[in-house]
Amino acid sequence: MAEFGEVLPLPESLDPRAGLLLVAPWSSAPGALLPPLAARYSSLVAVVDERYRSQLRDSVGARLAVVSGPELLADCRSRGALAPRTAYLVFPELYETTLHAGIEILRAGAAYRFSALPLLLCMKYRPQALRAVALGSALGWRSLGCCETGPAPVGAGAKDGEGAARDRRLQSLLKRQLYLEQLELLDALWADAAQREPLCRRTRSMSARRDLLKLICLEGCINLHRRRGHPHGFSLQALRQRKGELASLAGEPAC
Amino acid sequence: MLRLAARIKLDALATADTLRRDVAARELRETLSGLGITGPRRWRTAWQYHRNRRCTPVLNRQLMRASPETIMRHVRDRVVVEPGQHWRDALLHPGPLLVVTPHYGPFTLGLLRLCADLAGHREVHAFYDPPEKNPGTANVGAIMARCCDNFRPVFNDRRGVVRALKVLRAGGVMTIMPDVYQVNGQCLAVPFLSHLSYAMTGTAFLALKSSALLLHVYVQPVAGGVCIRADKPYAMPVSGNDEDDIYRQTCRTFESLERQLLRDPSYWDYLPQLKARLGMPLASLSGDAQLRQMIDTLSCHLDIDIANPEGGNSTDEAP
Repeated sequence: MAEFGEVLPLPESLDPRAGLLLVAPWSSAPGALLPPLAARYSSLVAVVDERYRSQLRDSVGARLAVVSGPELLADCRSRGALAPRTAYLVFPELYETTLHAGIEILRAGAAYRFSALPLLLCMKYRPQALRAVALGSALGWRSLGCCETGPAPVGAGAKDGEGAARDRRLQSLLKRQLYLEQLELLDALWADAAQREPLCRRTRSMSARRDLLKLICLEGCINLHRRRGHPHGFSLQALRQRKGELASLAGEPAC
Repeated sequence: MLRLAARIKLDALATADTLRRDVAARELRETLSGLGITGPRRWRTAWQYHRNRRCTPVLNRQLMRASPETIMRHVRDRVVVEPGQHWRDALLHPGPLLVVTPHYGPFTLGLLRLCADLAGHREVHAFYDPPEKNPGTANVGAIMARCCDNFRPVFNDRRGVVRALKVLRAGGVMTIMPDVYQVNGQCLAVPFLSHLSYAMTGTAFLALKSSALLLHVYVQPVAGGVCIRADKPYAMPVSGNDEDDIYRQTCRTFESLERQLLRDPSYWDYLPQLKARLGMPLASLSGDAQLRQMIDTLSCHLDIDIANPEGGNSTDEAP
């Protein structure tokens, strides 16, 4: 999975006039994904930080736009949809996630944390969506079937009752499709030390940051309790020790 | 210092910024609503915020172009301090002085005034991010170095903290900006704008370890110039429990900032990012039972044992 020898053609069933969301692993050669997309879609948008722009541009030239996750969400909110005739490439492993925005998978005793951005986009904007999966030494595509799940965006008039239950089922289904398959990817990465260490470091750092935020809140609550005049009866020694450990882990460079 | 044409252009740009319908504009409006600013005042405050943001690079360019003599004349003539007594008391203090200001208004002019008032007597050390970390600080450093012989930058890194402490312990004057934060081991959650908010402990740490006098100031444009509004200077109360003292002082610093923001939030650079630094609403922790339940829930999530085997009194020991 580290180096994709071949990227298989996109499925013929895709409608190139509609927007496409492509969920891909962040490999050492993400640019390999772009030429097949460039042949089918008039515009390409890679959702990555600015620092990866030049790396990706080398693959398809100036036709590639690079936006960050928040920029893409802002654009989608103002437009109400993903742009037509546009392929969006998202990398769940790449983005640092906040306390509530990630999905965690346990593998080989370690917690890996991935961005829920593709899930959010699928749920809210129902694009044609494909997930990149390893097929032997090549990279193939698996449909996420977002379009078949119904026309109404999740949350639009479905706060309770049957609509809400349908949305919950849909969300659960999409989560399974998107993220249980991530296990395959992790298995592949596990065999590749060069890929594994940066991924371990990034997810470890993100998990530590999440716990550190919780710990700071806990400390804040205890201080507040004491400030209100209660002898708090808490031992803060363990808390401070954990804070130091988490701060050290969260401060690791996120590569 | 702005010509009429430049002012008209800035006003038009600020109006366009205020009328934008993107996420950033919406978030700013939501933040202002959260501060209780609604209706026409919300639009006026948002406009003022955008105008201030547009003004900052223009002001920096002018300060970079103008001669040091012109700049210092402008500072002496147009930068006033209110109340002057607080400012004078602090500047006449013979021991260490920590001048605390957020990224609020044209703070560079405030720093120039501080250097001008202490010129020939004392050096003014400013603690801020190095340009590699925050490119915007390169301009401020260049302007200050050009205009003031007694300006000394101290960059915010591990060596910088040691140097800052050394300066203060030797009785020096240091400026510090406590309104930036990073989620790390020096981050605390303190009450701020009806929430638990992330805050750094650096200011309190330096004050505690140097026994510096603290002066909170806010630099704000007024008709015909700029006003430095100074709180009454004070010495940090010390109980012997360092952790507790640092927490209480950090709370106090943010109480001062909160008072200023409730008076006028539009000059605060980090206003749009306010939402990100606010954690739990204090309303959800208003009762003792709620607070206790939250402590139990969080310690359970983190799988951390904070029960005091002694029970009752604090085991919060000074390091």
